[in-house]
Amino acid sequence: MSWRPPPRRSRHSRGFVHGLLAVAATASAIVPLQAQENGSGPIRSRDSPLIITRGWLPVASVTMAFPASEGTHRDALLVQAGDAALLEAIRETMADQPVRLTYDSDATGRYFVATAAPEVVESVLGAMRRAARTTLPTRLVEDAVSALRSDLVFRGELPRSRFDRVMDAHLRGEGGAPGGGAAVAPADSAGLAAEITTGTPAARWGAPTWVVVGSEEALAADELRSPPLLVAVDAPARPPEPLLTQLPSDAVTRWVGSVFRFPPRTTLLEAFFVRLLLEESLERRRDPDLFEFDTEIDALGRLVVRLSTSADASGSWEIRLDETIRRLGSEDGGVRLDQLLPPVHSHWSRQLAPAPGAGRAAAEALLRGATDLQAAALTHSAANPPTAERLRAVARGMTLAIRVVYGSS
Amino acid sequence: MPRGGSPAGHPASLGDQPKFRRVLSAAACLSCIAGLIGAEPGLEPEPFRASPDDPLVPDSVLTIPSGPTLILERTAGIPVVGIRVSAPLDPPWPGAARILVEQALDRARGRAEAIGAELWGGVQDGRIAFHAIADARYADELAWVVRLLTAEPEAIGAGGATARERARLDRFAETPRGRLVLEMEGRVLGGGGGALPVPGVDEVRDMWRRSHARDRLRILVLGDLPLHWVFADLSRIGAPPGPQAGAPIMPPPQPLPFPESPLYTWSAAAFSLGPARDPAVLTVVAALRVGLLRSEIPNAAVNLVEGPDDRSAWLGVTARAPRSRDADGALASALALMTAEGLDAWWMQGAATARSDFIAAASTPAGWLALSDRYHAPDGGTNARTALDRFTTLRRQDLAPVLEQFQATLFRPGIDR
Repeated sequence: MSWRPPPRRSRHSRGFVHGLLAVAATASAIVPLQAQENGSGPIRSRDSPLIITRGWLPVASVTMAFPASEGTHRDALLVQAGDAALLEAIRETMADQPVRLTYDSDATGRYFVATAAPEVVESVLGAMRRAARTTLPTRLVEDAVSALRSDLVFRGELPRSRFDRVMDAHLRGEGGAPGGGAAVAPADSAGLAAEITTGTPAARWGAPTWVVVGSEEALAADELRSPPLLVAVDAPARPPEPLLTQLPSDAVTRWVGSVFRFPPRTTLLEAFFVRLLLEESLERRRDPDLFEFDTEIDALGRLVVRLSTSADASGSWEIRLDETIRRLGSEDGGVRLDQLLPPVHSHWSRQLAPAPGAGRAAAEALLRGATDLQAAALTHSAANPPTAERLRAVARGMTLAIRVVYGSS
Repeated sequence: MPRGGSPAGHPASLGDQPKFRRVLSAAACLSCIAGLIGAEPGLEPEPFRASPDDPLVPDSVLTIPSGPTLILERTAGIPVVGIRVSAPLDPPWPGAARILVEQALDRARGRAEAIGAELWGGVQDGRIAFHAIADARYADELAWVVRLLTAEPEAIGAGGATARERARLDRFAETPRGRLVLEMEGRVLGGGGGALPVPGVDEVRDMWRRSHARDRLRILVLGDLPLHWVFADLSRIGAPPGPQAGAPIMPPPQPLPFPESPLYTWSAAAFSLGPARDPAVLTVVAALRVGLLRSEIPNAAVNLVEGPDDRSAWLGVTARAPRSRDADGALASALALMTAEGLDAWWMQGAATARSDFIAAASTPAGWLALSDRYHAPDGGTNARTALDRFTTLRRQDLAPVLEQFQATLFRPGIDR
């Protein structure tokens, strides 16, 4: 038998990582679901990156994140075209670099993630920073707007697009306002390019949030501070949304959007886990009437579920959705949670294992108002997930806030 | 020289006392484990080759007599455990391998879903490979999933996988582009033109006995797992070790019926660029892709077609046009990218793309396992780090042998007439 012994990491680095993990495990339980009004202030300037360390790091990542658009449909289009142009600008800057650049967005933010060898992280960070501080090239913006215009012509008035606009208006608190879900006509998009090129991305959307998942030596010990206590904050005051909005449609597909509020003092990690449990549970109950579903936690810390079903199945999947959440919260659902939790643990661990996944999770937490330590802790939270009892309590406290039905009743 | 290690070929220095003690204690531990599992004693510690702090170099490589090669990366830094098992493609019959893989995935899927494991199987780099990745707390269940993946294929349940393979061949034979893939498979692996037939149950089982013989398996483990766990749970998977009696069953390729293509004419070429793990080859493949994407070839549609996954980077190019002269002209334009002048224009972007692909793959556990498998050499001479270093230092003149290989292997199969 031939044998090469397993070398160890240096004692210093192992101890350091274990130390970080211990603190992270404590902090991960109290990452706020909603932005904090108080707590510890920032310990680095906004434009410098939060550096997350990993014990095992074949590849590093740099994440640049901007908050999601909370404006009108036109604002969302501006963001969409501007991000496409910015992505292309960064790609052109780093065309000869061994870097993989990806883009992703959700209800909280927009994420530009670069995956690179650890030794070039600094230059990648510099290139992304410069791109965000430079006016976007007109050529790239026009290309992006042109692609957007084609997209608007193609699917601007499809029932699905209309449902999404109405749903987004409700999420913004403008559901009851006249024209809340109005589309931007393709012809109007001509002015978008001029608007995008009037300033730099950073000037338009504010300084981006930066996260680097890098080498162990990068995190200074003084960045480890005692995590602040959770302060739950109510959503900003907005006009009350109707609980149920029904919009008729003769499409063969029926869309349902549901918004649930979490109980007070729910942490971000608990919210993520309840969301994943719900997804796993819905997947197991899927039938041919359920076409597709997606879930997200919006910037206000609410669980948003969108379902599309056959029009023939009118109403049955809303009932099942409510029932699924009720069962997650019920005491006799213990066996069910035992079955659902292992896949959810694996899903969460696999999401955080690669450096780009960890960086994106930390950036999302920062956009939600987490402190640096809380964001770093979230990336190590797979080792210390919420208990079944706590998840059951969170599910039990969830309440339906908004429901939009687009289709036959 | 890697950090923390002695140069290859030199034993670990006695002056390096802590490391030397680790070698001895690990060797003693392995002696005990080897005794328990029936392997021959007499462990000889190999000299240090791995760099302890380099995540692209596995921590340990163990070769067990009459058992698998174990490649371990022990780390507390990630929350998952990943296991990859790979076996040689023996006989080189991709259809049999696909059925073997489909049956294995069907067997293991239920248990994998119960723990949310990412499950994958396929033929990669000329090897039959599987991986399963899950949260670290489910390592024992994951080992069970791997046992199911590598178990002997049963006759019951083979019908579905065989039917899917037959449908695949029928679908490929219907189009000129699919015919090119089948022609390449038949020519490269089967020794003649045409398509390799769909294998039966016995032939699939014969492949399992040969390819999954325990001493031919390679097992890669990524995670914070003790060595004895790996031995106890994974060292006895697969078929009994040792050479199999008789030659492998491998029928000759069969002629394909020609599909009708009334609207277009097609022109095609196929070629090998050399070992698919060679960074120079991967750079040229990426340069060809970039060149085809950016070049404007009029009046024709040109596509790149992946060849059989037999480690020798076979590629095909098809050109489709209403008139035959346009199709031939387009193919000639595409093949012009594989000249010294063509490569001059695109090789730098190809090199950046190939390096980016490598970096992106290495960032995930599944990608790390695949790269470590791809660049593993029994003598320890190569690994993912040496490959990345080669990508980084690659020069234009290093690509010349790839062009020579292209010219030596180029052939022009008829795929629509």
